[in-house]
Amino acid sequence: MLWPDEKGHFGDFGGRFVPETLIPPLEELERVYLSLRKDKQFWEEICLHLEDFAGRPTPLYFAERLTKKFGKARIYLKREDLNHTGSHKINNCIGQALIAKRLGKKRIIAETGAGQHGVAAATVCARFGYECIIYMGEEDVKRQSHNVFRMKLLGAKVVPVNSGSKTLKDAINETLRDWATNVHNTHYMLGSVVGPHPYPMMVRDFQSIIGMEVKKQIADKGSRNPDYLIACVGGGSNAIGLFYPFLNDKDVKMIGVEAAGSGINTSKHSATLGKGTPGVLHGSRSYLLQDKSGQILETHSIAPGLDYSGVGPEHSFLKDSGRVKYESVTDKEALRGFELLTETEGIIPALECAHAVAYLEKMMSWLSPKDIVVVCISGRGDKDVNIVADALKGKA
Amino acid sequence: MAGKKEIPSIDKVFLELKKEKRKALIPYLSAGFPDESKFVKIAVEIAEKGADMLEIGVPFSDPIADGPVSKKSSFEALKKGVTLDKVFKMAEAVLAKAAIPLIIMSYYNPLYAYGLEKFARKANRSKIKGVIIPDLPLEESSEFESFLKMEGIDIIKLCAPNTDESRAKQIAGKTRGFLYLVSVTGVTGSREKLPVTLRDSILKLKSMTDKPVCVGFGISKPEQAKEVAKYADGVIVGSAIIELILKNSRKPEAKAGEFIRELRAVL
Repeated sequence: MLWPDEKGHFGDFGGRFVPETLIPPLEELERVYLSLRKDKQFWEEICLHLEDFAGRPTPLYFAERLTKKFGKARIYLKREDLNHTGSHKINNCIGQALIAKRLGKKRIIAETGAGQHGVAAATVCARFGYECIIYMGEEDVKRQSHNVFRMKLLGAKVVPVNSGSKTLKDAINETLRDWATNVHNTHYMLGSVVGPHPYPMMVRDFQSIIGMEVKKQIADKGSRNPDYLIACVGGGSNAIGLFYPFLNDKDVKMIGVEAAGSGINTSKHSATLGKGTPGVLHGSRSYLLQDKSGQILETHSIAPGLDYSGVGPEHSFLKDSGRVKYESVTDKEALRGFELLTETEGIIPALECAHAVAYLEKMMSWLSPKDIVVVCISGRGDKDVNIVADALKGKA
Repeated sequence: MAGKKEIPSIDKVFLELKKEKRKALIPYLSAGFPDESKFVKIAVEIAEKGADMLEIGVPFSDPIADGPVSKKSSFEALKKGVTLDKVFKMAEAVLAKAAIPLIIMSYYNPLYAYGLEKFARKANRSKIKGVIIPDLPLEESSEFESFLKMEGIDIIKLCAPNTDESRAKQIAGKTRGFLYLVSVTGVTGSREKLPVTLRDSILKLKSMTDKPVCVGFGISKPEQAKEVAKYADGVIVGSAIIELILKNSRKPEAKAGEFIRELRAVL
């Protein structure tokens, strides 16, 4: 069976739980996207922009020194950090910018956590000549000031959100409120595989280029399919992008890595799939970090892009079906992953995907030298150097 | 004594209103705001001053349809630890003194976490007459509807200004008690002016259904209520009352009651 079904359900998850005002734009978006999905010209146009503007395909890089260091499995890195704007987020933004063109909507709104999606959205808006408004939690505005400045340079208006936890969750609330208010002329460029149908499906489709390229690239290197795919999971867009094209390949095992923050048995983490329960937030049913009254909990992670109390509904589905395993690593372990990749391969990863790198170390005990592992390096770490500098201060 | 009186159903209230040629006044309050006992006091006062029904909001951490004012009252109530069980207790306290239908307004997740069947049962036991769930559209609501139906609780559905005709018909068919027309695109909160197209939207809905059509979002002044009530069967007023409560921390019930009397006079 192909998921989602026509109501946007992935098994028990997904769907469309929004105020009535948002039903018409979501139905319009679904209708337009479903027709474009079958339109060869549309995908050719996307491919053209992905190549010439975003710089795809991104390399599948054999991490020789990392492989040698562990001496256990061949490790490949999918270099999404080498995309234009520095992360995988541009894949989705190009797709949605072309949809906005079909919708005739020239005002774009978006939420951002780490600022990676905000920068990618602001970039395509500059490229296509759209007005761009980015909602960002006040806390994130502070800790990712570098990206805030980039968005402003690109002509976007950055609106700090000071309600609730002042992070990604609240930025999404405010973006939804803006959309309901300006529904006639505005497209919501949602940045992850979360939200109401059709977003989880549509964003997944746009990110699937990651896994499709990996499949081809590993074959071109004369290799069989990888044994393991590893990616970090906040909302889960880079992970689903890598996993989705391999879901039917039964020999390929997949692991999504969540943020354990200060530890999953403390109150300071973002391990939604590890510790959450099903509920409804931001338009879809999925695992959530919530209290027993159904109030959404505040989360923590050193990586702003993982600091979210929800997760994409398809990940919830893949967890329950057992197709994908979800694990977590702490802030401290992620920092070690960050240093490890920087020192061994000369690649400074974003703190988000440093979680995936850190998980490598944990899995080495049960890997054999014949195994092939692909890790998604979803973004580059320039934006995080201040956070890392602060975190390492005690150490130096 | 009011406490001994049977609490009428929403349908019955509209029948009475029709006979008396009056329009329904439905105020909205955030449950447990500014605190539990003051909330009960304000609710009772509002009922005495002429509210026909009362909508009470369950606080939620992520209220995406709420404007700044109702968001604020909801967060305040949450900080004070208001839960659904406490909302039921407050509702019972209000109903001990005021025999008007109470309608619970809640986002879906607090109800989902509580258990949909358990919610319907407890709500009936507390003599709640209706529920409004702003983020539960037709496509996702059938399971909950069946639990509510079993307990005899009305589920009041919303139509938006941008809802097309065929969908509006479906919504009108499914709603119980009345049909809630959202007057403006966007979130709750006072508006200086209501859209000029509102009259047409109301009349269009009225032509589609025999059920009462009530209008909410943005109505903050008696003139606006009067204008809307020319065409609609009732008005819902929320943020304007909460603003009064925020500004008058000493005797909020007096100010709120006075405002209700002014609204009542024009409906």
